[in-house]
Amino acid sequence: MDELSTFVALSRTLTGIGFLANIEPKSFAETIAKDYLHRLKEAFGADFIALLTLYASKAGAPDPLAALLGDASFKDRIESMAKQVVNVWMLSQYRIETAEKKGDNAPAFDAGFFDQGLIWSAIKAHPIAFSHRSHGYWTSKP
Amino acid sequence: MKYDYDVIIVGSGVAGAMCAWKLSTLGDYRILILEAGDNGIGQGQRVEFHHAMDRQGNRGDMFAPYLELESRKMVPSPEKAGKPLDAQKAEEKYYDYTPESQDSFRAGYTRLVGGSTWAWRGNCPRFLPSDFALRSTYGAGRDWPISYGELEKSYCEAEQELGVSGNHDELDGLFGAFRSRPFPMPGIPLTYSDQLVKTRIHGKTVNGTKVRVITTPQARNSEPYDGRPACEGHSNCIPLCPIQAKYDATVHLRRVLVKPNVTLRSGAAVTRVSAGRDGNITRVHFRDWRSDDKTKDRVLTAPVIVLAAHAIETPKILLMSNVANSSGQVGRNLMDHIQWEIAAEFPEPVYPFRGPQSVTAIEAFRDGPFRRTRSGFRMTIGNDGWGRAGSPAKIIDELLTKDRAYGPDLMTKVADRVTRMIRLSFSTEMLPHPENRVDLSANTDAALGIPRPRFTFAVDDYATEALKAGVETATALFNLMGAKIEKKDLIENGKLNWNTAAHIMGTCIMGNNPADSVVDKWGRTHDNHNLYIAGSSVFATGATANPTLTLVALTLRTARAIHKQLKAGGVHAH
Ligand SMILES: Cc1cc2nc3c(=O)[nH]c(=O)nc-3n(C[C@H](O)[C@H](O)[C@H](O)COP(=O)(O)OP(=O)(O)OC[C@H]3O[C@@H](n4cnc5c(N)ncnc54)[C@H](O)[C@@H]3O)c2cc1C
Ligand code: SF4
Repeated sequence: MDELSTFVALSRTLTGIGFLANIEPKSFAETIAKDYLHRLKEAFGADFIALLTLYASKAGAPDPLAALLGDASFKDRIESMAKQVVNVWMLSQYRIETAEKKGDNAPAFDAGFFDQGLIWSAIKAHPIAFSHRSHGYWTSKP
Repeated sequence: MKYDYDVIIVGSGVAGAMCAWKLSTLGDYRILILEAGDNGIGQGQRVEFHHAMDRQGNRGDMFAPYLELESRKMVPSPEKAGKPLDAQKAEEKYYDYTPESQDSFRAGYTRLVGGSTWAWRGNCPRFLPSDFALRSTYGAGRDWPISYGELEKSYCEAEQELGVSGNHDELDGLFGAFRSRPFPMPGIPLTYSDQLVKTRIHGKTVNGTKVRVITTPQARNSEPYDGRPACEGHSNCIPLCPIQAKYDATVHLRRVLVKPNVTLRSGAAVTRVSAGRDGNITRVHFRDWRSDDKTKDRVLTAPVIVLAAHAIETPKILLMSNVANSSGQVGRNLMDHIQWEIAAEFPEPVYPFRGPQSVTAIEAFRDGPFRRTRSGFRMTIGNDGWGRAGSPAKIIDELLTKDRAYGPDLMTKVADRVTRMIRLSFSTEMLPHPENRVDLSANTDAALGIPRPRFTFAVDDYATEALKAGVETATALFNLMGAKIEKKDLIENGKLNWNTAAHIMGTCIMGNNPADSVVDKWGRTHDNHNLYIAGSSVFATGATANPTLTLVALTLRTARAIHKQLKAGGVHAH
């Protein structure tokens, strides 16, 4: 598998998001995937590559997710990388966690596709600040 | 005497803009607005601010759209103020503290053309009659030199100008607060979550008080108004309404700046005012940070000066000028609304983040004999998940960190929790204490060398006890709803948890007695007959209502008083 395919497969394993199974070449989804891969490599360097490498070694397992989570090295920085993979797909955002600042206390960085974040359709809301609806839509159940 | 202008107004926030606009309707005055910030006020600037958020990782930051402005390096403002003292000292680079300060001062503001209403939420409740007479009614705090009845007509005018939507019948007569006119437009329709909440608690009695869920009066259009569209529910009111369905002060700036006699000079940081040869305060000193000589003292003159730089910068200007302070009260009686919120999981999805961040409120706990010993509180129902208590990002992080919920069920689990997030927030009143104050720090800001604000601040028992009552009430309400409370204790490790409402009040307090107040009931300084203050710094008490509607009502009165004075003083004799 090339790096992009590994990243997409890892993303699918971690998030469970179905469409990541067959991203069309040159599609918008592929552009996003390439961009997220690039950004995470740029932001985290060796830590992120370590997660990709670990995942590549488990991808052939009968249950890659169980194999990944069960690996002794899936902790600390590598676990933080896994969270950031989920964060970019969900919120188009990643966080640089440190020993002092973890979770939503860690500084957040925009990953470029806020309105494509998968959380919005999951919670049946529009991306915050990007309503395409008209006045009063909020009165009814989505 | 020849003056450069008839009136110089310092600050282009809602107080300054409203004062300029009202004056311009009363006479053909030559008005200069001096403004420290430097940004546009049109649609292009709004779009640019909106895009700036795309580049900010933390969209929840109340100042996110404004962090890339050059002005913020030249005329800084507090950007990390919302934190406890230790954390704030480490991060906030603008506020300073005296060693005696027990708490941080957590309220922030912006220094922009258009001021802090770019970022405000837009809630516009009125004060209650008892709020103006707290001492005579309950023996606490102070009385104002004006009554609700005297301000009522100005309240109506302020609602008209800000474009406040609301339901007259829900609010007319609230604790004696009569309304002589309906709102200019009906209330914002209730969100789906408000409807679910209302079904469960409206009409029920909690701690002996009957609960009514009503629509908050808000400067947010429920129909096209004043050339601005009806709210489209972008759910981004703080920090920026992308379509200006929420009022901000650029409305009145644009309206007044088309008049040939009205000028805005941005990039002008006012440092002090001083007396002319006749002994009156007619000179305004400022630094033009866009010029080659940034720290050069520049002076312009007018027979009337209005300071509208909000409740931290206005007293700083007075203290740097050493004027209007014969009472020694300038900078003192500093107040904020001390706030807390309880987050919970509703038993079924309420689908937050659709529509305005908050539409409804419970007003029933604002007044009563308990105000002898503790404040009331005003409670709002959020439509933005847990608000400051936690974002969807926090839920995702918790699911991953605690439960390692990676894999096929992750989306379902996220959706299940996020769609049930709900919060109740309550704002309390602190009393005006002279010891709570802002003065001048020995440290100066880097670019212009102007002293930074220095605080001595402690939250009082009057507010703390009300926070406890708020927690009790919110807990009872969530129990009625069948919601599961997300525990975050009000007191942790012996320390009180609280948030700021960013409602800064009281530093140029209003009163009849020049010995213990700074301005009279028209906003005119007792010491200088041609120096006025506009804004919530003049508030004698803080009450539990958001301050802007009241400060606008007062500013409209101030503008009328200035007009009267200018007419009597033969303003055109320059
Ligand atoms: C996140 C947030 C939410 C809020 N929500 C609400 C709400 O729902 N309801 C409500 O009633 N209120 C709310 N407020 C408070 C509200 O924004 C203020 O009450 C209001 O903006 C004050 O208006 P102002 O004109 O007095 O001050 P500002 O709007 O702060 O304007 C002051 C102006 O003076 C300028 N200035 C400062 N120093 C100088 C100087 N030295 N020289 C020249 N110019 C100077 C500033 O640049 C600024 O333009 C909120 C505030 C915040 C931050
Ligand atoms: S909900 Fe959206 S459109 Fe409505 S006022 Fe808030 S930001 Fe503006």
